[in-house]
Amino acid sequence: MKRILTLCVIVLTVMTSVQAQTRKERKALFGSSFNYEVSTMGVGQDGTKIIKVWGYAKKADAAIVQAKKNAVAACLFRGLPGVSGANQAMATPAICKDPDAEEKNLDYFLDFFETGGAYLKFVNQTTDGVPAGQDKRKIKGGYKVAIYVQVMYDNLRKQMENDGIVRSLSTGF
Amino acid sequence: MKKNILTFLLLLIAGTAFGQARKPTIMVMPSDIWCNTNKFGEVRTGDDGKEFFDPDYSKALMSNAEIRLLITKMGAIMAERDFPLKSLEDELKQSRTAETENMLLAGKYSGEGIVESSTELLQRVAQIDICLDLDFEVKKHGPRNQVTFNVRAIDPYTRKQIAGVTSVGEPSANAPVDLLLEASVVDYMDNFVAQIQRHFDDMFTNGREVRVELKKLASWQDDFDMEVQYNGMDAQLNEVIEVWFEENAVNGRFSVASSTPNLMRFDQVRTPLYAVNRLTGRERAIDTRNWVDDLSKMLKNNYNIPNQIYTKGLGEVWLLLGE
Repeated sequence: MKRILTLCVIVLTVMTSVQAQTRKERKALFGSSFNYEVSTMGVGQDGTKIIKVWGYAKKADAAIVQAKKNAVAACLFRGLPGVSGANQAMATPAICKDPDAEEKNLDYFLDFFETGGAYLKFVNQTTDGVPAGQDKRKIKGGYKVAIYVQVMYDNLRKQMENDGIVRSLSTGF
Repeated sequence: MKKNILTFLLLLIAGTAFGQARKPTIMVMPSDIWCNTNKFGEVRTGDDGKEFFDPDYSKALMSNAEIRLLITKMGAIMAERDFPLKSLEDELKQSRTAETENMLLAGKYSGEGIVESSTELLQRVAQIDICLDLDFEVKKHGPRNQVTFNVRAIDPYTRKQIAGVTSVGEPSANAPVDLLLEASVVDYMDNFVAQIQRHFDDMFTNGREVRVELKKLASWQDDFDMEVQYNGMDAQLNEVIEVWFEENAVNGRFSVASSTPNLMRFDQVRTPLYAVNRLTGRERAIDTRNWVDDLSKMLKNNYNIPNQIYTKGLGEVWLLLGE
């Protein structure tokens, strides 16, 4: 009996620690500023990109806000993937070519991505209201929500050039 | 005292005023393949007796609205990025009068007429530093149109491809061809321009890549194997010239493509974008000609070798040794 109890305690301890790691990893994953999923839906003639982007937060409304930030961040730091088929589009490169651009300009981007900050100038939401169905999923710790947005890619690039974050094509000439 | 400090500060500012590098000129041109496929050009015989295809850009621009649309659209996008392109149409008008320059070159150098293709003449007159070589095709699949696109950015001096994109669009029955073409341009330009940007970044970091040729004119009695003195040592002239390149190229980067008694050809030469003006002491932007000028002076002053510089553009220079 004693042996069984000891075994149970050991098993419980191991399971708890594994779950704690998983919880920690999950928290890190969802809290990470690099965790965003983006897919290209189309390219506008007017220098805009139509993308589907996911956001994560405890509440659905907050996830939408996060998704908009993710859309702009994807254009700045990661680039957008290409897509084949009916809405074919080539991959779009990141505006910030330097992989350390975010760290090097931390203060600037903290201000830029403040909720209600300057990033909103470059994103239009094309989804009405809170998404439903497959675009809104309840996950552990909150919601994962997808929205369709139009990012003013050319205007965003110009803003970064004007603010000295990236070089323009004619810089130095 | 205050006046002196102010004067000193003003001089400091003036002295460190940073000249901007010479801006490369970029031009969009239809590719030889496209011109040949659409019958805009003819076959001619070159200096070496070999046949080559000579495109007729004027006819292409006057006859084909699609190529004009593409060139205009690309020009608009580049202008929006603060890097306007040179107009092919305008440069074609100028290049017609420049064909007589070939006769001047012939008298000075080989004594025979020089045969240049339209592309080479245009590149020389317009001094194009990056050529955007454009090729596209509109295919029909029943009622549907499909656009395939290929554009490359070529450095005409180093013959290297700086950027390139290929796109095969989805067939469409609804959209007119013009819209499909425009959509293709809009789709790939970000990627394409990013590649050109990388090339410019490399240029600012590692210097401009150029070609330099040193040629012997008939009037010069010696050749590149002549014996000279260098720092008290016996050497050949070609060795001294190589040492000069080693000392003056950025990080000593250059490559000797050819070295004969009559000709020296240097490829992959990295030249600085700026140099100090010896007259004013200020830093200024330089091109290949300015850079090679120091070599020209060295040959004249140290070895009494008369020479002249012939510029082909930002990226290629000939140094002709002799009268």
